[in-house]
Amino acid sequence: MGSRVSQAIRRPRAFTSSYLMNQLVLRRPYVVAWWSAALPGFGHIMMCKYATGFLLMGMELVINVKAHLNSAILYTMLGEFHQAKITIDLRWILLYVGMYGFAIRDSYRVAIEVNQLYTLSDRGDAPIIPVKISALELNYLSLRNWRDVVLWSFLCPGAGHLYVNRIPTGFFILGWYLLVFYQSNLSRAILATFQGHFALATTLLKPEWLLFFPSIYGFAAHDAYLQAVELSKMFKSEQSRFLSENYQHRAIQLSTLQRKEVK
Amino acid sequence: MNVFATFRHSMYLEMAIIELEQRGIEQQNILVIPLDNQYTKSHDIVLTHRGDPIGIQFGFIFGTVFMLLGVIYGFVFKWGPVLWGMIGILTGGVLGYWLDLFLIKRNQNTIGLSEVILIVDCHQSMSSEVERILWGHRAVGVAKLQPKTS
Repeated sequence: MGSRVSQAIRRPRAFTSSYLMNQLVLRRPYVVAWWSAALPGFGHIMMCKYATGFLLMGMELVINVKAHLNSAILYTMLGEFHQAKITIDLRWILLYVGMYGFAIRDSYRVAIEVNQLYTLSDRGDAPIIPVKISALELNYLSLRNWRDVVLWSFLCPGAGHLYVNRIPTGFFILGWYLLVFYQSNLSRAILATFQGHFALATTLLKPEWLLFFPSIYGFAAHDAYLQAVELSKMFKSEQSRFLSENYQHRAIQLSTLQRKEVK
Repeated sequence: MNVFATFRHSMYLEMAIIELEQRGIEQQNILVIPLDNQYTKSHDIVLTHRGDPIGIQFGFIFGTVFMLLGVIYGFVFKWGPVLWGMIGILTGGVLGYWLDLFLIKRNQNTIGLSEVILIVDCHQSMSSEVERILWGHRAVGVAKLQPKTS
């Protein structure tokens, strides 16, 4: 027993708080790097490194908006290179370069190392606390339906994270979603589009904010999906561990059967 | 007398065991064997089944990329960024999901329906109640076995 406890402290698998169950996860490093490239900070959030992720997301928001980077991307993609050049704010843009490179490279490194930690904890069979209750929230392992998670994330990015009880991520993604949805004037543009006023919708939209939207939308669904799958898996392994420890006193039934058959 | 059942992992499984114990079946007369399924057995999870977190899920990634392209070129196309963005995410999502299905197809039928075996040793008088409790907590299958007394 003593050896298991010390092993648990050295190579833990998960930390249970009432606001989230933070855990080591297995992720493909290239997928993590891709999400960092889509929006710096997302890769770290995917690896459950939330403080780092939120910091990078905050920097991304400030620098991108101040440098008018999204507008410049839009003009570049549309072939209006001169317009792109005069749109970019030279006072801000160089700040982006180092942060962007770091986010991608570092999340790739983190993914590889956390995968190794995950493997170590899995082989050591590190224990998991299945329920945690605090004054304001409660958190427990259970089977989560990934279809529900994806549906809620598409209807309201961030809601899927609330479903899998990852309150900090839910808070940040909901906040970003709210800000981007409002600032890009998306609500009015959607209404105009569905009333057939396509030209009006296009002029209403603010590209420097709208271009954040696809990344938030896709990432919220992807990350929440992975967390749902992971939670279900952890529920199963925790339950399996509990049952094996408590309900395998003896295999009397089968040996009795054999004796009877021999007679 | 033995009652055999198979279960999937769920809260119901533990509730069934608790209820059996409350009805007077002792803990040492309940044997629970969680099975290693195909997907829990392997530590090389990179190569495993549907729903595994380590698949790539191209659906989300392609959805995002196509949505971004739809939004950008929507600014010059007639229908505008909103519709083209929606067209983008649908096209990309379906394309990516199709790719995911294609990539994991060979592993699909390795998913276990039964994840736990439960065996209860009890008197014959209790057996139908045990059976009812097991069925009532979402057992996948239940069978009673009466040892032959010859």
